Amino acid sequence: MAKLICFILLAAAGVSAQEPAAAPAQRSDALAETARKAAADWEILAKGLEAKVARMLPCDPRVKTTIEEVSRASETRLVSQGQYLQAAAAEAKHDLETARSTLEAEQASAREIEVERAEADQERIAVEGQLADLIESAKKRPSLEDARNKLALIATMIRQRAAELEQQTARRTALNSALADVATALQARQKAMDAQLAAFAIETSRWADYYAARLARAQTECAITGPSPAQKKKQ
Amino acid sequence: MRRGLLFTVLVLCAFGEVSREGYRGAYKVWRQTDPNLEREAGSAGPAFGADADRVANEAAKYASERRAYLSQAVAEKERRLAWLEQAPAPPPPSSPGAAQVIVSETSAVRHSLEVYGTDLDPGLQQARAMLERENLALVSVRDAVAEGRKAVEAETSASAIEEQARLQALSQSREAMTVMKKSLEEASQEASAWAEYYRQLSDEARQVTAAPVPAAPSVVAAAPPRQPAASITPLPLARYTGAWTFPPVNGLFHGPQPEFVDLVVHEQNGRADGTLFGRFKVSSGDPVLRFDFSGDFRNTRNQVFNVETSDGIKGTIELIPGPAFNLLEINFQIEPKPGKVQQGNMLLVKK
Repeated sequence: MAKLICFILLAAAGVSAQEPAAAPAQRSDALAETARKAAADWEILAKGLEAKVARMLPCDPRVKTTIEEVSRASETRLVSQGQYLQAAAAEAKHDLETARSTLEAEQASAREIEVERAEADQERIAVEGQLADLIESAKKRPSLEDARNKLALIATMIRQRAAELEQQTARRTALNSALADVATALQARQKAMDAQLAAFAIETSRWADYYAARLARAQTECAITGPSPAQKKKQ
Repeated sequence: MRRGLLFTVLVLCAFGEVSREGYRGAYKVWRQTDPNLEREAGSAGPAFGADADRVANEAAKYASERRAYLSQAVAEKERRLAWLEQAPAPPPPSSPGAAQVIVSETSAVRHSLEVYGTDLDPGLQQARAMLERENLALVSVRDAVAEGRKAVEAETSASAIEEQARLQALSQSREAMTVMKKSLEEASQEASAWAEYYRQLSDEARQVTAAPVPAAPSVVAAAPPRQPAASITPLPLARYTGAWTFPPVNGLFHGPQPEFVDLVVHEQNGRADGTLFGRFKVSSGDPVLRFDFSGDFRNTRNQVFNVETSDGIKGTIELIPGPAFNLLEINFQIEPKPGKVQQGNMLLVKK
């Protein structure tokens, strides 16, 4: 049992200290299912314990094995739940690191928009210069009118690009704000997961104490009453 | 520190192959190729058509580089934001049965305590002491379970807030992706518009020079020396040079299916240099392929050039004039490297 508690405490500490961005080895949903099943198995045994033991004499060896069976089932479900919590905490940590790195990358990407806007402006100026030249040329050669129209259309496209980049800036600001909110929420969730792991370690320890006390009571009851003649004969 | 380094490496990896500098450089070359083209259009001489073609090639190269950059930026952003699509982990397994077990055990223990409590028998008092120990253990378990439940509730509440924030970010990211993809489409439209514009200029100049106006020998001599197409290849050089693209619908190919392929081929003094950028539908590995090639044009129908990718991988590309003037078949093979497209064969259309 001590090993189990150590495992959970180390797991809790390990989750907090481990390096970021390593994807959790196993999805917590599969472990959650295992934990649910182990808890259900224990529950059936635990709820039937007193009724089962009540039908036995105090020194019946089955009293001890029955209590130990429930204790083992409890240990199994707590290990399963611990594994689930560890995986879920690792996922939460991984998600937090992903959110933070995404936010950093998006903030850098948002700065790139400024570069693109400058480029669009530069292109717009160049095209307007080309257009001015072509308008002069078209005066000498009217057959250049189609090319002039096409260049005017290109100039419009580039102006539109610059305007859209303006909108993109606003959109990216909104995205970055939303990503920052996700990172904050994930941080709060990770903190909650750490608290949950700590509480779970205490709960695990308490259950171990309880089953130890239950077994001790059974042994005391046997010691007080002494084995029945039939049990003595068997012994 | 390590995260910052990792981030830098990721950014370098993401933009290592197609950089903003690449298309900025191509833009400068385009703009510097013939800054007076439009000014001279009004009094165009016989060399004007070729000048317009030369500028058109540089414009196509810039457009191709820019589109490649934007395409990569879209793919990178999609990859970066993909995690927002993933729903969070399920809620923790709750076990209300634990509380029920504690209640029933506590009830049984307290009942026994009441029974033994009035008896002064030393044995029973010993049993009572054990029951009290058990009762205390049950109280501790109960408190611990209650604390655990509070922690679970806090985590569930935090998860709900996170989910709400994630959905909001997902919505924003989808909008941002839509805008970026629209920009990519518009970049292609701009490229087509530029190609059409220079074609109009070039055609117009050729129509004028083809008119029965006596050619002044001195003007022809003043034009920059250019290799006559027929002297290098059996087919006109225009069957190989220019900007080519894989048609988005009903494209013909053999080997990995292209999502898009852009090819630009330039000729100068009988020497070819070009760039291919493409993205292929592959089940695994890197779908993006980009390489440069160069070599002398030869007096053969099919032209083979040496290829070198940005990773230094070598190979060859064969340019095969297609059944129509605006079609070019390409066949490339690259040294095998895990996760990389190694060969391709497809029919491209001139932009």
